[in-house]
Amino acid sequence: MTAPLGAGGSVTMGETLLRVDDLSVALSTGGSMNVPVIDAVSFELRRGETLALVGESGCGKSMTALALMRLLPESAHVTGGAVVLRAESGAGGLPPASVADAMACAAPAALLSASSAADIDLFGLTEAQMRSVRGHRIAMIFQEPATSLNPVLTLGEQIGEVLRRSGRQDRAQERERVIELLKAVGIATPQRRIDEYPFQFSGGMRQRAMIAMALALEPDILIADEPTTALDVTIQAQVLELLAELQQRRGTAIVLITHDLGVVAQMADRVAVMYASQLVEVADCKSFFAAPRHPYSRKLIEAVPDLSRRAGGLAVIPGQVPVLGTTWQGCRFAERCDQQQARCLSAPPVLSPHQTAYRSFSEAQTAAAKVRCFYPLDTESAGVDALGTDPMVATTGPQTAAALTEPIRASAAPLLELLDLKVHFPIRRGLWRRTVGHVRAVDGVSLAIERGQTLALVGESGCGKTTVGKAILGLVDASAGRVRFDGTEPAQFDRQSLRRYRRRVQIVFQDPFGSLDPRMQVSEILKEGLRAQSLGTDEAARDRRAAQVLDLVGLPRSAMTRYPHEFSGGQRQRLAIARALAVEPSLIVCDEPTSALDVSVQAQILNLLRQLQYELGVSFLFITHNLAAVEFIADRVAVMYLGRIVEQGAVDRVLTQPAHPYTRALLSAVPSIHRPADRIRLQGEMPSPSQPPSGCHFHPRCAQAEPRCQRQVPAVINLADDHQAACLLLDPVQR
Amino acid sequence: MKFVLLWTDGLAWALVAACIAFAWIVHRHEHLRAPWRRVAHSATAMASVPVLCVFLLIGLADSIHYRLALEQVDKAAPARYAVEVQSVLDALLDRLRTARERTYSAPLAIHAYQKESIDQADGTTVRDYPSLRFAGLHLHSEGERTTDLVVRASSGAVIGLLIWGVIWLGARTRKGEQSRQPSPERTDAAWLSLAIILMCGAMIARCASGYHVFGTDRVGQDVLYLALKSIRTALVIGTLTTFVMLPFSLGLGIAAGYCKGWIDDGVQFIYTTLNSIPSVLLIAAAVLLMQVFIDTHPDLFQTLAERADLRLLFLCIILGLTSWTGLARLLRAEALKLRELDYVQAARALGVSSLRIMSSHVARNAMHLVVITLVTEFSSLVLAEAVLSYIGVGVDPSMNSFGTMINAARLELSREPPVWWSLAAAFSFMFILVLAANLLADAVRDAFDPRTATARIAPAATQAGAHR
Repeated sequence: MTAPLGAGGSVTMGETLLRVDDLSVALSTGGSMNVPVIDAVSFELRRGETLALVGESGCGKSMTALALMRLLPESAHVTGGAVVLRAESGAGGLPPASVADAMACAAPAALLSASSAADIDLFGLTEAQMRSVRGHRIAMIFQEPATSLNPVLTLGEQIGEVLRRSGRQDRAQERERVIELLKAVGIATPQRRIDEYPFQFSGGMRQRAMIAMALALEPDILIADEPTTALDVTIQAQVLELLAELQQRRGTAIVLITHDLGVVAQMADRVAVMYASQLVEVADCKSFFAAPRHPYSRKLIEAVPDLSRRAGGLAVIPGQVPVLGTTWQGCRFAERCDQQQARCLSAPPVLSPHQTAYRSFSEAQTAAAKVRCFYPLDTESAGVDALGTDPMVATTGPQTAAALTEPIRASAAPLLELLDLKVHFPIRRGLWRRTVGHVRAVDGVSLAIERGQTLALVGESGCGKTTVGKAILGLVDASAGRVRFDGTEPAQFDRQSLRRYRRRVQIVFQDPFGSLDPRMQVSEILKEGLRAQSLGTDEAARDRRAAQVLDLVGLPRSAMTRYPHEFSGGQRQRLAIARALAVEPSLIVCDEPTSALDVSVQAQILNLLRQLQYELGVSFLFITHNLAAVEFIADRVAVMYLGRIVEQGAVDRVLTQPAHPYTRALLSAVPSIHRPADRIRLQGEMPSPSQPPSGCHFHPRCAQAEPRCQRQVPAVINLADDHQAACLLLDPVQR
Repeated sequence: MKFVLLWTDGLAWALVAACIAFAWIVHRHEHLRAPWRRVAHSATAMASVPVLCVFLLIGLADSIHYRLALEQVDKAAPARYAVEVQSVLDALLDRLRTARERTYSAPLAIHAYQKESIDQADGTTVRDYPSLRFAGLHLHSEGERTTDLVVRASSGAVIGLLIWGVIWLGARTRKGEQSRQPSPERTDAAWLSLAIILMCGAMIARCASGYHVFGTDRVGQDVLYLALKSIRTALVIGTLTTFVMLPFSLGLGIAAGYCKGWIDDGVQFIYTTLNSIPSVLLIAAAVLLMQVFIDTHPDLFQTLAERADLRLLFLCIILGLTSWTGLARLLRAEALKLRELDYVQAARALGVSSLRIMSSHVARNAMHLVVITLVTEFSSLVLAEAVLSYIGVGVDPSMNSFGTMINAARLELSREPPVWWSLAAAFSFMFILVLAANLLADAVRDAFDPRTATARIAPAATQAGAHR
C-alpha cells in the first residue's frame, strides 16, 4: 500500500483493462424528449496505453468520461451499452477488505469477489460499490485546476481524505504517504507545501496536486479531461511529461480527452475521434496523423495552423459542429464533408475496420484501425508530412508565401510605435492606502507595427501582453514611456481627440461569450461605436454600415435583430470583429481571439483575419500564446517574458532560428503534430511581476544563466536585419 | 360634487400612465415584446396576473377622490361640500361602509361576540348576545342562517361562473380562428385563476349583502371593508417608496461601482453613515417632525384626508431615503464586476461615453438585481408599515392599512375568547398580494435573462455554448 509510486517495475501492455460496448447516453430535456449525447460508443483500453479521445466541443467526449466514472449530471442517463472493467489482477490488493466485504454482501458474489477473475460491469454496481471503484480503479483529473480543489482545505487534508477512505492508516502514515505523492508529482519541498492552501499554489502546481490526488489510491485507469488546456505551454509540457513518466513507471492506462492535436501527437498511443456523439475513427496514433482515414479527421489535422500553410488559407470545415438534438438520415458529417456522395445522405455508415494502403506502416499498426465512412481516404494526408520531417524544409519557402499574401505597404513610418512603455500598478496597503510596491505588468516594451502588417505578441499568461494591448487603446494608463500612433501621441490627447483616436484603434477580446453585451441586439452592438463616434449621417446610414460589416465577416444580415446568445462561439467572435471593423480602424488589437474556439472554428477566424487584412489593409497586433497561430498569421513576432520583450523580429527568423533561451524553450514546449518532441525543459514557473528577479528576468529559469545575468539588465542586440534579442549571452562584445 | 386630487393619487395615476406608455412602446417593438411574451409561458405568472389586476383595480378605484356637494339651503350662496372625502371604492362599497355595528362580531355571525344587557319590551333586562344591526336581518329564525349562507354562496358561485363564461366567450369570438392553434402562452392558467377570483368574489359579494363576511372590528366597522381600503395604502407604500429609492440606488450604486476612486469613497461613506443610524429612529424623527408641521399649519389642509395623505407621502419618501442603501450596495458590487467585462472594455475602446456605458451596459445588465430587490422590498415595505404603525409613526390613524389592522390585532388576540378575524383578513389579503407579486417577478426575471430564456425554448441549442 505504501510502496512508492512506480515500485512495481514490470508493465504488461496489451491486456485489455476496460471495454466500452455500445455506450449510449441521453440527456432528458424536461419534456418527454431524450437527446442522445453519446451514441453507441465502443472502444477498449489496454494496460499501460494512452488513448486520446479527440473532438470538438459538444461532441460528447467529456460525457463519455463522466459516464465511465458514473458521474453523469442528473439530466443525463445511460440508455444502453456496458462498461466492463477487468477484475483486479490481485497484485494491487485494492480495494481494502472492509469495502470488498461490503460489496460481496451486497452484490452477487460472482460480480466482484477479489479472487475471481470475473469482470465487473460498472453499470451493474450499486452506488456504494461504484464509490470504491472510483479512485481505486478509475480516477479522473479535470480541466480547471483552479476550481477542482477546495479552497478552504489544505492540500494535505484533501489528499489525505482520499487516502483515509481506504482506512487502516494512522495520521502519521497518511501524512508520510501524501508527502511521497507530492514528491512523485514533482512538487518541491512537499514537507512544507503539504500544509498550504490551494491559493498558495500556481495553476501548474495545482494540476500536479490534482494528479497526486488522482493517483493516491494507485488506480489502473486515469481519465484526464483536458488536463492542460488551462495551462501555459511550458507548464503544459511539464504536466504532460509528468503524466507520461508516471504512466511508464506504474503502467496506468490513460484516457486523454483533448481537442489539441499537438498534445495527442505527443502523448497518445491510439486515437479515437468523436464527432456528433459518435466515434468516427479509431486508429493507431502514428498512422492517424500520417494518413487519417475519415474526412473529418483529415480536416481537423489540416485546420491546425502552421507556417507551412501561410501560402494558402487553412483548411476549413464549413458550417459548425451540429447542435445536440439534430437528427440524421445518413452520415452525420455529410453536410460539412467535401467528399460527400449521394449514399452518404441516405444511409448511416458504420464503424468498420479499414486497412490503409500506406506503405510505411506495418500491418499490426493499421490492423486495429476502424473508420465510420463509406469512402475512407486511402492516401497520405495532403498537407501533413510524416512525423519527424522538418516543416521548414518542406515548405515552398516563406518568401514566396509572403509575396502572395502581403498587401501593398506604405514605406512611411510605422503605424504604431511603443517606446520603452511601462505600466506599473501600485499595490496599496493599510489605512491610508500607501503605495507599498508595484506590479510591473509592463516593464519597458518597445515595439513597432507597420501599416497593413501583423505583429504577434507571444508570451505566457501573466507576462503582461494583454496589458500592452490595453495600454495601446488607452484602457490603462502608461506609467512611463510613449505610445506613438501615426505621428500623434494619445497620452497627450484631450477627451475629444482620444475619442477620435479610438476610432482608429480597436480591440477584439479572447472570450466570445463575455465580449458581447448579452442584452443588446446585434444591430445595437454594431452601431454602438458608430453612434459614439458620430459616424453616419442618420440611423439608416448606420444600419447600412452595420449590414456591410456583417457581410465582411461572413454573417447573414438576418443576424441584425438577434441577440448574442443565439450564436455559436465562432460566430460571436465574428461579431466582435465586425463591431471593431464598423468604425474603420487602422489597427485592431486581437487579444487571444482564437484560444477559446475549436480547431475548425479557429481556422475560420484566422482565415477571416488574414482576408480582412488583405482587403482592408488593416494592421493587427495579435496577442496570443498559441505559437501555431503565430506561424500562420504574423509577419513579425515579439516574445514577451515578465513585462519585457526578450526577442522580436520577422516571423520566419524568430521561429526558425530563435536566439533567446526563453524563445527556444517556448518553441520546443509547443506540442506539434509535425515536429518531434526534443524539448528544452523549463524549470519552475514565471515569477510574480510584483517582485521580478534582478538583472535578466529570465535568469532563474534559464539553463544557460551565468552569474552576470543576475546583475545586469540585458540590452537589445541586433542579430540580423529584422531580428533583435535581449540576452547577455548573445552580446558579442561581452563575449 | 367636487374632485379632490390627493398627492398620492396624482403620483399613482402618473405611475399608471407611465406604465401604459411603456407598454405601448414595448408593444410596438418586436424585440422588446419577445421577452414579455416569454413571461406568458409561465403558468404561475399568468395565474398571478388576474390577481394583481384585481388588487390594482381596487387600489385605483380607491384613488379617485371627491367630496359630495351639500344640499344648499340658500341658492345664491357658493356651493358647499362635505368635509368627508370619499373615493369611488367607498361609493361602490356603500353598504359595507355604512353598516356599522356597535362592536366586535364574528365572521358571518348574526349576533354580537359578547353578551350585553338588553332591555326588553316588558322592562326586564336580560344578559344575552344581542342581534346585529345589519347582519341577517332577512332571516326569520336563527336556524335559517346555514341554509341561507349555502344558498347565497352557491348562487354566488354560479353568478361568478356565468360572468366568467361571458368574458371567455367574448374573448374567444374576438380572437377568432387564431386561438385554435396551440400556443406556448399559458392563457389557460390566467383563465383558471380568473374563474376562481370571479367565483370567490361573487360568493363574498352575495354573502356580504346580508352578513359581515370577515366580521367587524372594535368600533363595529366591517373588516372586509377595512381590508379592501387597506389595499390602496399597501400599493402606494410598496410602489411609491421603491420609486423614491430607485434613483438613489441606481445612480449612486452604479456610479460608485463604475467610477471607483473618490466617487466610490463618497457613496460608501454616505450609505455606511445612513446604515449606522437605526432607521426606525430616523423615520420616527422625520415623521414626528412632519406631524408637527401638519399640526401647526392647519390652514394648509381643507380636509382630514389631505392631512393623512400628506403623511403617507412623507412616509413613502422617508422610507425610500432609508432603504436605498441595500440595493445600492448590490449594484455597486455588480458594477465593479461588470466594468471589467470585455464588452464594457470594448465599449470604452469604441469611445462610448461613461454615462452611456453606465446606462446602456451596466444598468441594463444589473436589472435582474433591481427586479428581485424591488419585489422583496415591496413585501418588506408593506410589513415595515405595520411595524411603524405599531410604534405610532406609521400612517395616519384615520387611514386604513394592513399595518393598523395587524397592530389592532395585538390587543384583540390577547382577549378571551380571542378576536382573530382582523388579523386573518389582513394576513390573507397581504399574503395573496405579495405571493402574486413574487410569482410574477420570478417569471419576469427568468424571461429577461437571455440564458435561461433560450434554455427553456430550446434546451439543446444552448449546449454548444454551455460546454465550458
